[in-house]
Amino acid sequence: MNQNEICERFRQSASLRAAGVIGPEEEVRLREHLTVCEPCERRYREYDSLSQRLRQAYRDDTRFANATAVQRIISAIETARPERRCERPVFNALKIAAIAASVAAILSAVVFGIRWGEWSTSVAPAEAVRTRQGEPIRLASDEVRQSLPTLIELRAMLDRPEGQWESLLARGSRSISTPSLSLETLLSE
Amino acid sequence: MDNAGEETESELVRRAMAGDDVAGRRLLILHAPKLLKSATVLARDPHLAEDITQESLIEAINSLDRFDGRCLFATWLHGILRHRYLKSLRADRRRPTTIDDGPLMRLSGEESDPSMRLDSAEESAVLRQEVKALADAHREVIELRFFAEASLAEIAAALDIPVGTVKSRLHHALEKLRQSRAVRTGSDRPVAIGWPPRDSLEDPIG
Repeated sequence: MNQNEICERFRQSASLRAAGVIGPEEEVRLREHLTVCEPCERRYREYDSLSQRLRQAYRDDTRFANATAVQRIISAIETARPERRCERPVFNALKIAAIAASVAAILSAVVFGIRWGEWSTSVAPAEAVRTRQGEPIRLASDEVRQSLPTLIELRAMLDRPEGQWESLLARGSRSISTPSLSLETLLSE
Repeated sequence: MDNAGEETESELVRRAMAGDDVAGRRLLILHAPKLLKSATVLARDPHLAEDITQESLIEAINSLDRFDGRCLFATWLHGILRHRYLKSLRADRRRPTTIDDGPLMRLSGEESDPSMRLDSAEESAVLRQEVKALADAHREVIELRFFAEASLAEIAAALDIPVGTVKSRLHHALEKLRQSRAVRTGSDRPVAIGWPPRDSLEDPIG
């Protein structure tokens, strides 16, 4: 590194020192260099003079810098309401958990209500009920369902002589619109 | 800032980070004037500067729990200011093409102190004109340093450039101003003011 390169490096240090933004170690190196380098020492004084005049040019800015604007800003800070400052992260987490639980409970209630409604009021779709042989059992209405023998009645029928079945079966077969549905079909279920 | 001031600020920072809202507000009020100056340099419009300073400080109030203490509080604030400034630019692409020197000229001395010597006032006015004639990159670092009194780290945060780049720009800006002044005065005569005094240069350690 020749002398010019060394001086160029110290010129930057000199300007930064004049601007007041140099580190202490670099400042020591600069001072050592300035004691032996007259051109750099002269350049430093020019930077220093310039910086002082710049400070002078802005000094009154520092004294009076937009005092009204500063007051307005300070008032805004003092009256500003923090959006979430008072809520620490743990409280935020609890709040999120509570909201999630509430939403889940509401959704569960809605789903349960829908299913309860379906179960209590509707008739199972005819296509969903089939015999073991794949024949559809068409239960068109509650009237038909009520006309069919119950399981208890069917059980009782098995214990009765065959001749006594007709009276019970007649009740159901009158209302069943599907001709293919027979006692055997029902029993096979 | 003296040691007592630093302790006060560090204590305020500690309390603010612990969730003390009052300490956070006091801390922001402490930094408001300096931040407004930086905003004035960036925005070059006093109204926009006031707006983005206020928005930055309000955002800081709401984000105090995000300050992790890895940088100085002022540096963190300057980062928020830059973000707000860019946001305002995106919201309104109309960046002023003419520099409003209102805040700088109004406060430069001519109005506040009529008794100031004419040559000094003229010198200040000429110097400000020379700063204004610099490239934006150089003008910003000069004004942030000498008008806003921002540190290297604060300038770097405000302009989103490395500290080394700030140093380089500051040096080149001062060099250009020095050359302009030498041409204007027609003299390369050294000025016998400032640090270090010639005597101390004889023995820098002593």
